[in-house]
Amino acid sequence: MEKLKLRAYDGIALTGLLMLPALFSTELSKLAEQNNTAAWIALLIASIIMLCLFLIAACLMGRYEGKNIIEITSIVMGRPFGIIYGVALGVYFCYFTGIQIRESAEILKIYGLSLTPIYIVAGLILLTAVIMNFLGGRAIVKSAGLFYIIVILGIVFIMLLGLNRYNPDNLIPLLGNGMADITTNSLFITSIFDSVIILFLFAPAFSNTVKMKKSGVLSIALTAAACILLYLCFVMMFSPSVASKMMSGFIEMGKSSYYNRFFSRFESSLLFFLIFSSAMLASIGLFITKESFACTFKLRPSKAFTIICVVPILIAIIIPTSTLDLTQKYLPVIRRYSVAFMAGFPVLVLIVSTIKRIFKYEKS
Amino acid sequence: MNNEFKKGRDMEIQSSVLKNREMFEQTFNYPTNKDIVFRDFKFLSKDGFVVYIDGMAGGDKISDFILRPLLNKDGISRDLKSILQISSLIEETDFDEAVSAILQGDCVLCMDGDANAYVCETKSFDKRGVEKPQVESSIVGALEAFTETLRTNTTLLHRIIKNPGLTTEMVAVGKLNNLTCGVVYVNGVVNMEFVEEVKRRLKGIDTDFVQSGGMIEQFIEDHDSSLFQTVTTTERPDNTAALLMQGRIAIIVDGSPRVIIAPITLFSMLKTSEESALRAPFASAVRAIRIIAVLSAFLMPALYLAITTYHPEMIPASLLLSIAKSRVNIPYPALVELLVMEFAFELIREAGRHIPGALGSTIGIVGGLILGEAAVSAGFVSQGCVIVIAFTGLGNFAIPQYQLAFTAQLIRILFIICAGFFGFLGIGLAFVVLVGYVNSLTSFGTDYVNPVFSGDAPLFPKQPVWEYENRPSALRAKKPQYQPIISRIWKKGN
Repeated sequence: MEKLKLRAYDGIALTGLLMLPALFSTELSKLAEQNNTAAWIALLIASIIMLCLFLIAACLMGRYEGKNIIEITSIVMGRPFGIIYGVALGVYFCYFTGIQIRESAEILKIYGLSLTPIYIVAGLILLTAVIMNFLGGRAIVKSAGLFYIIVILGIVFIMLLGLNRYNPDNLIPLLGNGMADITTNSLFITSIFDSVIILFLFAPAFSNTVKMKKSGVLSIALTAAACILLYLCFVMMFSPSVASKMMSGFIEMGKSSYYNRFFSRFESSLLFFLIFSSAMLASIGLFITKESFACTFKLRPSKAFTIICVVPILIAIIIPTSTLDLTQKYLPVIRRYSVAFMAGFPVLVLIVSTIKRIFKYEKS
Repeated sequence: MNNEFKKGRDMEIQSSVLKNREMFEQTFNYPTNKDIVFRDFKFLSKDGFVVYIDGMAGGDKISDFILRPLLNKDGISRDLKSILQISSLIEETDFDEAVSAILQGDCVLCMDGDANAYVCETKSFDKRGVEKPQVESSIVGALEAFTETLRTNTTLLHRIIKNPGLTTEMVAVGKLNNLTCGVVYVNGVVNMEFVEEVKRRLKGIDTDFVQSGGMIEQFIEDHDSSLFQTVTTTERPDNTAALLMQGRIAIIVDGSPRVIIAPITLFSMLKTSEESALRAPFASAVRAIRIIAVLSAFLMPALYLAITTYHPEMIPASLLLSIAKSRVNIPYPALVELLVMEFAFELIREAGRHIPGALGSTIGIVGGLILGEAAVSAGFVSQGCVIVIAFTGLGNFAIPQYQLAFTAQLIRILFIICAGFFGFLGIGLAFVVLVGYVNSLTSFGTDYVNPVFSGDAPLFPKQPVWEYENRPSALRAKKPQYQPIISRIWKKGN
């Protein structure tokens, strides 16, 4: 693995940029469709669940200071399991990156480049990710630090922009379709926050586990705050029934805000937030893919290796046949079900590690 | 005879004056080389000679303070050190060191039966006086600039930094021209790892000829063919002194009026020495304008192109109509128009630079006004394009570092091409790559751009002088604190 040194903020930025781009794309509409007015409560519960899962799984990292999750899996469950987990993580991030790039490309095509073929838009984002990976992990981490601020500013900006259009009545009924529905949905949307688990892959890059934990906790808290606030603003601006029909809630919010004609002209510049976030997500996603495979097979990530990792991402980009296919079939995997793998596996390793320890103790 | 001269050949000064003279003659290609002067004499019945380069060493100094006392029979002393009336006299046993001293303008004296050469400080070549800065001019700052003479430059620094820790180490670069470089730092402040690294890189230059400081820069930079310079240069002693006190290192190259500074950060190149003399609100305003200028130098034509071509909804209808009207007769796309204008602008600038004196500025006016007006009338380019390129040119000139302005020119072209093909998407992705590229660079192993929240003073707004508590963290200075938290101890209630 490339020798990286991460501060707590670097961890927040890296994971934040994997989670926040969902807000610029179809996720806000999807939340409105599934959770009605209560999505913000579901998001709050989901973030708390994820926080608990992260802290439980982080206990495992504390036991093996200086080792990453793939190495720990190999130690606890044996090398074959380590390889299987490493490959699965790499494959998942290929899929995650590819699908997210495709989603961003669809939105960019709709809002900015209607005549440009979708694969050119997606290809350009992927090309940017490849160049960033050629420049190295340090460049990606430092750039993430800058673009995270830009993305957060973008979210704050869009929330402030719509101030005169918010209607709090749209938030009623507060509990949406009922508490049972909220609980079920919140379990699923925990996946929105599961990217924070990648901090376990970079654990050795932090000076200690406490810093890594701090980074993860803050990252979940900030992302949850951004998601909840933006969703509240979104629903206050459009009622849930209208909101659920939109492609990108973020850009629609920008388009619908109106102070005067002068400011309204700048709505196209909101595309920059989408472009920056998707380019950084693609760069970080490719970097994680590369590092997962490199760590699993103890390889030194080279430029050729980066190119090899691009191929499965490219496949993931071209798999969805249409926007509908993408949103109905492929996006739910990374936004609804991935938590089972992302958080579930480290927790499983922790349980196995605990059982083994108990047995060892009894033997001795 | 191979004239390659490199120290460390283990050639010793001989006790035979004839042998020594032969060695010097061979080394300096004497008598074919008419610059070398040998003056033989007899002192206390022993043969001796002085050797120096005519013009580099002061002939008057040599005759008045070296030869006259030696030839004066009244002064009965056998010790040369007591006889020679020279401020600096060094006994040298290494032949190469003696040759090096002659090349620097000193004179070397050898006596029969003595295995030492005496290096007498006699440098006295013509040099330019200290003048006003030509490029980094200042209204409220000092009005002195470095010259081509290494010693004059170190003196200028000593006059500002009156600290015994200010140290100059000499390193010769270039096998055949032995260019002297002074590595200057403040002992006790600088991290000596950087000093050793600078010296290691300078000593590791294996080339016959180094013409200038610009060549040294390229030899010692971290990254080959980087678009951004990772060492900077300045012609201002006050600026150099401030950077030295931060814990940086200056490389003064003999014959070059610009001093190389390392390690540096990108944002340090956007600061000027004048700002330290300005109060914080004014300096912040100046910096804000400069940041806008830099951004426009990089991005303005690309944004113009993307907005007019892909996102016309961003332009007010009346302006959009005016732009569209001015482009009606233009036979090629806006991308080509901008590239042509960029080329024309650079052509005018390059021509203005090489045409001497007042004629240079005339070319600028002729090119800018007459040619621009004619091009618009003839339908070669639109008015909007001319305005954008002119504004971008102004932004480029507002960049304090000459080489950073070059970087802006090149990157601007890339942005224009990206914008021409993909609008905002092209600009956005190119910007991400640019940020990544800049973040991947290092200057002598330190970050070229500080990470976000690194704790160092921000570029904007400029902090008041009393708030600069720490030296830049990337420099890992021996003395990290610049001044205490309360630096204005006179102020009551601090």
